Amino acid sequence: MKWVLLTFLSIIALACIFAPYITKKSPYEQNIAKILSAPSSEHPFGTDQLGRDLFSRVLYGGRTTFIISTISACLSLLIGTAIGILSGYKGGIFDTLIMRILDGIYSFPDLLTIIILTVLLGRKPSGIILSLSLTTWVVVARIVRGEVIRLKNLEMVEAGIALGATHWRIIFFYILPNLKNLLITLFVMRIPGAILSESVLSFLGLGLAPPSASWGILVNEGWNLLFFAPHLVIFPSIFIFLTVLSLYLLGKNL
Amino acid sequence: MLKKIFAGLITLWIVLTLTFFILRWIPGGPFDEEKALPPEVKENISTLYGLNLPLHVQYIKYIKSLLKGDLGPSLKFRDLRVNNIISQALPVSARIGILAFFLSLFLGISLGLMEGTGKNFSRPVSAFFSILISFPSFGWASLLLFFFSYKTGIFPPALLETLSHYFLPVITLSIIPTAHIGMLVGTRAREEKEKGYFTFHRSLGFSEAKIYGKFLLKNVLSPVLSSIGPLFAYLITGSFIVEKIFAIPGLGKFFVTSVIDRDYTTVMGLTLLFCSILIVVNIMTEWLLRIIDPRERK
Repeated sequence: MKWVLLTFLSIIALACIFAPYITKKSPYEQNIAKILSAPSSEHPFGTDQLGRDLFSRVLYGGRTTFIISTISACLSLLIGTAIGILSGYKGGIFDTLIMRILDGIYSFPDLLTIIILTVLLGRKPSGIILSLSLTTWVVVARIVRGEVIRLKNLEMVEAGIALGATHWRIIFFYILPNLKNLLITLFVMRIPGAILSESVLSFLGLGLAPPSASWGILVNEGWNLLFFAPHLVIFPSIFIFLTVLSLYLLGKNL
Repeated sequence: MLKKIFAGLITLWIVLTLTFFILRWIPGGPFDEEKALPPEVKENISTLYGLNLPLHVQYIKYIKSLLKGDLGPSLKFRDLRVNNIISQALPVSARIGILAFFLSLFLGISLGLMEGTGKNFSRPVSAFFSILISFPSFGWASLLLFFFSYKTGIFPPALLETLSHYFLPVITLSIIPTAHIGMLVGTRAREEKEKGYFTFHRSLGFSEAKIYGKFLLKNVLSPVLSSIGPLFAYLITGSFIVEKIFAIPGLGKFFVTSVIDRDYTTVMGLTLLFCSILIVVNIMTEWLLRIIDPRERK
């Protein structure tokens, strides 16, 4: 199961990375003679309202989607892990304070924060990456903190302290290696979350500014023509669905 | 209890202050769209709404009028005050939200119990949950619209006039929370089945139905109660999407357009409203949790 999912995800990712070798058509080239044509052998996914080839737009759009979701997952993991470890390891008033702040952010709807932050940071990839990671690290921090509290009470840590290890040594050589599996799972689970959030943001008209495309933006562009040219919504949606589903299943099976 | 309410008020004040300053920090102002406006006119409008005053003066003015219950005039919908917008749009959103709330609780709990306790259902239901959460809600909406509205015409595709208009929006809004609650209930039910009281009551001769209905359900209820807060948060943000899809004139639609238009007062008013709803819901669920679960009382 794990290997099937990994192979499938690698195929999608490689197809997006090597998009220029798979399709010769440009994702930006407009062709007024072929507006909204249905899927054919020349245009496997059909064309959009400006006559652009949808297959190549989906592949190139996948690059944006993967870049935004992977980097924001990394950042949110980094912030979350750092704060989770500090809070769980240090304990006391510091921990209580951090937990209060986390509870506050957590009880606030994340999409609301993401929307306000995206508007603040700008509708560009860096702005969306930052607003996604600044909102989602809270979940990571909570889980990591719980695990750190469990780990720091183990006998191996006690043994480390008895041997005279410094706090940093305990964090980096005793606790962090034990968090490895948890962090990998959290990372794999964060990516689909980011893909979905980015597509929702695009759908609301608050995603990346045109002409850049992501899967979410493609769905948004095709939305108004759902009944006339369903292929515009169907193909990018299938890519979102299959990628997110396989990432979730991979996270569960790790 | 009083302590919780006090903490809630403090949270509300922090949110108010943060949104107030973040909004004014955002590049672009509410009157940027009207390019034809001469600078003097723009100046006059800004003075009219007090946007030229120093920030801290604006902030104090806003809090003062807020304490009187006035959220100020909308900067974009010229003749409306934010209070009017809320009183018009809140009932619309609330009707859909409350229907979706009960639907997702009902479906989530029943499917979750099926997943956690049923032998043959367990795997298909759990796969079903994974599929539900792997697609954004607008994706589900497009499928529902395509089949139920375009192909068969069973349900109308937009607006909110008769009862049949409610089906698609409410179902769209319930899909993702149903899966989340279902997974939560399923996990908890599976844990509970391993516990001693299950075998114990069976050995006392209680019927399966009674063990499930009376003891299991009660123990599964506490994770459900603590998921009500996040559920409400989801219903609020979910309404942004659902109301756009089905052209429903509710709060979510107003919120998204006013963020795009930099309508400071409307964004502030709606953020405060959403936040107070969540705070009230969280306090209430915590209180309910204490009633049903003695372990939570300290």
